[in-house]
Amino acid sequence: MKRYVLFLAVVWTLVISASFTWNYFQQQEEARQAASVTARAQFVKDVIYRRWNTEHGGVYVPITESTQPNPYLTQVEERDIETPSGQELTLINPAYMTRQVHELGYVIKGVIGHITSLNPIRPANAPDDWEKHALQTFEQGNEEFSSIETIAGEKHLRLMQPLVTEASCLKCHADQGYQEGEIRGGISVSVPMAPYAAIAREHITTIGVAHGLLWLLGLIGLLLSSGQIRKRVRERDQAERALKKYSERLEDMVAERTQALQNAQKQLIRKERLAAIGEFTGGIVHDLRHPLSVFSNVLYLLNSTITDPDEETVEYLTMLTEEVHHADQIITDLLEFARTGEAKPTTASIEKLVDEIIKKHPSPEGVTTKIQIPDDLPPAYIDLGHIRQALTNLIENAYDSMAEGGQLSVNSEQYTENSLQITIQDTGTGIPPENLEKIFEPLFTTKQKGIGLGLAITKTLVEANNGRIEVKSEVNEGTTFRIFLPVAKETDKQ
Amino acid sequence: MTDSHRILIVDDDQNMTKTLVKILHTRGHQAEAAHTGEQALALARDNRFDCVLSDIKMPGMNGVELFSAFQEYHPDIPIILMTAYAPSDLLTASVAKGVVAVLNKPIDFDLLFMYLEAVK
Repeated sequence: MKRYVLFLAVVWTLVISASFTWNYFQQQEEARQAASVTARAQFVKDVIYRRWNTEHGGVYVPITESTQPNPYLTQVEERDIETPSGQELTLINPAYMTRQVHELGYVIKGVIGHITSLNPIRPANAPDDWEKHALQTFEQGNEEFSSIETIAGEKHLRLMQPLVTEASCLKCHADQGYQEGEIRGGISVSVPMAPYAAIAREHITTIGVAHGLLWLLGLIGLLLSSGQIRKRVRERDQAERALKKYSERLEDMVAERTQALQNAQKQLIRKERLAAIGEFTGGIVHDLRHPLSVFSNVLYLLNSTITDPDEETVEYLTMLTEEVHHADQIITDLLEFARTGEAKPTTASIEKLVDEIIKKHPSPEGVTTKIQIPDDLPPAYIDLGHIRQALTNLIENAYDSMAEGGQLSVNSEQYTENSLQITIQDTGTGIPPENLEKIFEPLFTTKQKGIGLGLAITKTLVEANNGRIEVKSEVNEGTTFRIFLPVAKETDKQ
Repeated sequence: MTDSHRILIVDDDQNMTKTLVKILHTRGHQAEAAHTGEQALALARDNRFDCVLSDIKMPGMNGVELFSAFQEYHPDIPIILMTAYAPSDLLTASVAKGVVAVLNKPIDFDLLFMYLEAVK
């Protein structure tokens, strides 16, 4: 862009310079033409006066100091005459007259006239080098010769035209062998260039100033428009950049939305799956519990009526009792799962809830429990039954993962202004990375006797309470679940 | 168990009533079984019971309706309900109306005998 402007400026400068140069020479030429016109007029006048003199065969004038008889007219009879009153007169021939007139011209106007010939009768009339050259060109047919010459330090236009020999000329020049129609000499006129040069200079100054102004205007215009163009280019670049940024942002947004949509779809599929399982469960669990209840009754009867059972009987009765209990546990899980409905939140103390759960589900042997919940933790706004179930599931899972012993830590603290987090951390076996994604999926389990609903239910319950759940785990290091739940606001019902 | 109760057991599952009756007998109680709510009401009209132990989900009259009927005709007889599964709000509502307890199936007998002791 900058280079383009510079290029235009250079072109503009060249154009202006060229125009000025042309104008300059034009002015010089005009000055010369004007001087030539003057010179020609002078020449024509000289020729006419000269012809007049010639036609009269010369004129007689009184002899004075400056007008002495022409020494070159000795062959002419009656060169000098006397008037009846005794006044002496001498004959002034055309050349003599012209010379005298020319002398006057020089004195008055600075115009120098000179009558000359390659073969003059009066030697003083011999041509100078310039005139000689001009006369030679006339002999070759040239009708005018002119140039600018310096005379006495001043510039002059010198112009010369030939004089053609006329009949009347022969009166004096016949002796030289002149014939009518021949070119035998010429009159050179030198016009001082000073006044014309002054006019030309004046014009050139005006033209120069005009060109300068025009040049300046052009440059200013160029700079302004380049500024304008640069501004537009800048604006366009900015717009392009903004557009690019926006389109990138748009891509990001699309990607984000796509991700959100995919998540929503996953969520939906998960929910549908959960709902289907729920429906199925609700339908059969009730019927399953009836036979299970009878099992349980019979076992109770046997346990309380068999007296003195042998070791094997006790072992198998115990096994049966445990399995009935386990089957009932699965049914309870399924029922909890089927029951996961809309949350009915109330203001609830997390501290109380955790205490209650730990009391009801004390840690197994070898596992210590560490609970850290600040007194000033704000109450949560949750469905107590839902979150009790969710936390119970997580705590029981933690216990299960620490069969060799360990520590369960339950912490809670305010997370943001509107949310609090509950952290349930164990030092158990941990979850391999490849399973971490799937643990919240229904029917995913790694336990031999698990049905794979615990964490699915937990997640569903937490989400039903406007919460979310995160998991971090290292194999052989332990697992940390973080649950985020809404803090109760002033306006929430107590 | 020093004091003997006369207990009416209501459940559409005959194995359930049979085993329950047997268990209560072994604990020194007298027990009779009914398999519908209507049958239970008929039995209660002619016999004196100290307590009714009824399932909730039954064909015909259900446990909660039976409880309402007993409240009307035999308001002095305490009722314990049993359920394989019931939403917690139904349980809460029933207890609020005067049911002694709602027991989950399978029956936790320690809990059952504790309640029976309590309603004496």
